[in-house]
Amino acid sequence: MTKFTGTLSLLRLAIRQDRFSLPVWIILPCLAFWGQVSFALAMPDWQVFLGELSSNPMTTAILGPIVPLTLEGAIMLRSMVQGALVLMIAAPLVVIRHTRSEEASSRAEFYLSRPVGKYAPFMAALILSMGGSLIAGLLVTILLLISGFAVAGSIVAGLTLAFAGCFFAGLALIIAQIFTAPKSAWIAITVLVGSTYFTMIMNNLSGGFSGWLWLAPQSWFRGTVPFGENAIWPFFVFALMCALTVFCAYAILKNRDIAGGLFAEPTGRTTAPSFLATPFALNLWQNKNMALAWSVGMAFLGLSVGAISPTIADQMSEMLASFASWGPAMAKLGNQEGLVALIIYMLGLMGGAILAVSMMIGLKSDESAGYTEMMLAKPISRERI
Amino acid sequence: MNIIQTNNLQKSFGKTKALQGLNLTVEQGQTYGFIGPNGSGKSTTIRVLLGLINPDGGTAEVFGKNPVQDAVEIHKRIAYIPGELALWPNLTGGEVLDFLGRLSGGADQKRQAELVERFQLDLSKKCRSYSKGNRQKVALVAAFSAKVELLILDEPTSGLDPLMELIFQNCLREATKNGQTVLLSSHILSEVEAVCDTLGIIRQGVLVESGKLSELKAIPGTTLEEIFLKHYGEDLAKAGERHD
Repeated sequence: MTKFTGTLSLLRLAIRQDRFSLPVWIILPCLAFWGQVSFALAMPDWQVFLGELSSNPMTTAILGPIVPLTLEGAIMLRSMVQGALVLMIAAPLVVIRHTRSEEASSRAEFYLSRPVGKYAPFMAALILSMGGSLIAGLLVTILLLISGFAVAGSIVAGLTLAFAGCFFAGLALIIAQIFTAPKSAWIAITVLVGSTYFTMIMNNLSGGFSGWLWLAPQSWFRGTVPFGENAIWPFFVFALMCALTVFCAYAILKNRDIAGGLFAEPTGRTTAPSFLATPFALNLWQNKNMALAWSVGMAFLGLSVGAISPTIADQMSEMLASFASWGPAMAKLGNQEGLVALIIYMLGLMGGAILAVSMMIGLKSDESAGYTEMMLAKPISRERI
Repeated sequence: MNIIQTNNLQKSFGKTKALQGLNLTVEQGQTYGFIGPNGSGKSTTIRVLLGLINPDGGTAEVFGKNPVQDAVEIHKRIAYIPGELALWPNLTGGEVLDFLGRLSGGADQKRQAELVERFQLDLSKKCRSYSKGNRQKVALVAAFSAKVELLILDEPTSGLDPLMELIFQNCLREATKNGQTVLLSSHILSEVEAVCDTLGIIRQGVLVESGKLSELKAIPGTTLEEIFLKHYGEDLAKAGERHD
């Protein structure tokens, strides 16, 4: 298969480039589990806590029911979601960084002119992202075993986690075939990860095991139920979903040009809009798609929160009052509005911070790319940039 | 034997027709100057020859093989410098050279060291801190030290200073002497005149002139510039420019 020639060399190159970030995202899920495990083990009256948690309408609605209703289940409740989320973001990052970004920068053209098969860069990126996800899962399994939990459950938990990463690696591979600009691919991934929040909550509201489950990889443990049923059959569904993504990506890649996508690069306006006259305006203009996606996403989240909160707010007022620190604030705000305000505040903080950070990173990369030099040559002070 | 052969090659990107029936022939041992302004289809032709893009029509053969089907086979015998060169920002120049060499099953280490010396390249620097000229040198060293039969160079001297340009020309002559075939895409007429023995002029995706440089210039007093302007004079006039 000469189409895959050079895969190992490219894999080594990718590992060399990612030598700092790779260990971080592989270990991060393990840390999430470690936090939950030590928290749970340190709690002597965990049975009481568990009883309170599972009888609480809000927990069951938002976080989903605890499966199984044991100490292990309580650990899974949070750590599986957090761990999967890490992999669902990191694995696509790896894929796009080593496929589409390389093509967009013409580095791919450079090494593909050597005896390297057309599919080698994609194979290398897949091995790295899926392999990384599997290792991350394996580390979680080892951690759970060391902590003294059952063997079967530990393996099921680790494997479920790994599959969430693999599935998103596959999705990223499709996205990398479609968009010519890495930034568009990033936005698409962000939207996908964001929409799994929606499917996750829908699944939790539907009792924890529904059709929504398959579209929310961070909830996949509700299908396999580690330390409970330890179900094997969902793994076949996961594997099939992963294989399907890789096959779709392959089908697009097979016939497309290197550095080309499914859509031609859109042409733009031939003159700049009149407000584009300051460094600040330039920064906004360059990030307009990101800002737009963020605004739409936030509006959507706001709407969903608004839609579900009136129905559950009454049930939750008791629970909210029991939070020592939030209680007084909630009482002041009035429970229902208080809850909505709190959720919007937290989401806004999260989303807004991401937007701001990504804009600043853009600024920094502009500087390294030499664009800033071009601007500083104009009558503009450094501080204004 | 023809190293490169294309027949009626066509390629469009959306509404842009990059190649409109290109017939290009490069024979063994030739140093072929592929001349044309920006956007005339030089890089597209090269990308088809490398199998990076699929042509919409016509055929292309390199070493008598299909550039897409037999890409790996062909690329074992090719070294290429892309027109828009980008390197890995967090790798050093030396690491890039080693990596590219290993992909091709090992570069000529002695030759590589000699070239690094001649181009005065600092291999310990990360690529992100290289200037454009220095990035170009990394690619030049990689290409000239590769054990290959065909060099495909897409505007390889952009960013080089005049001194390095001369060293490049010497390296190219050595390559020709060693029997390597060269396809040099360029828009610098003096460079092509200095090193190439064969010439092809591309205009709007069609090869409008080709032949031995000595034959094309056979008419006394004919310069390369005049041959070029024979095909592009019209465009110049349209732009309202005068040529004396």
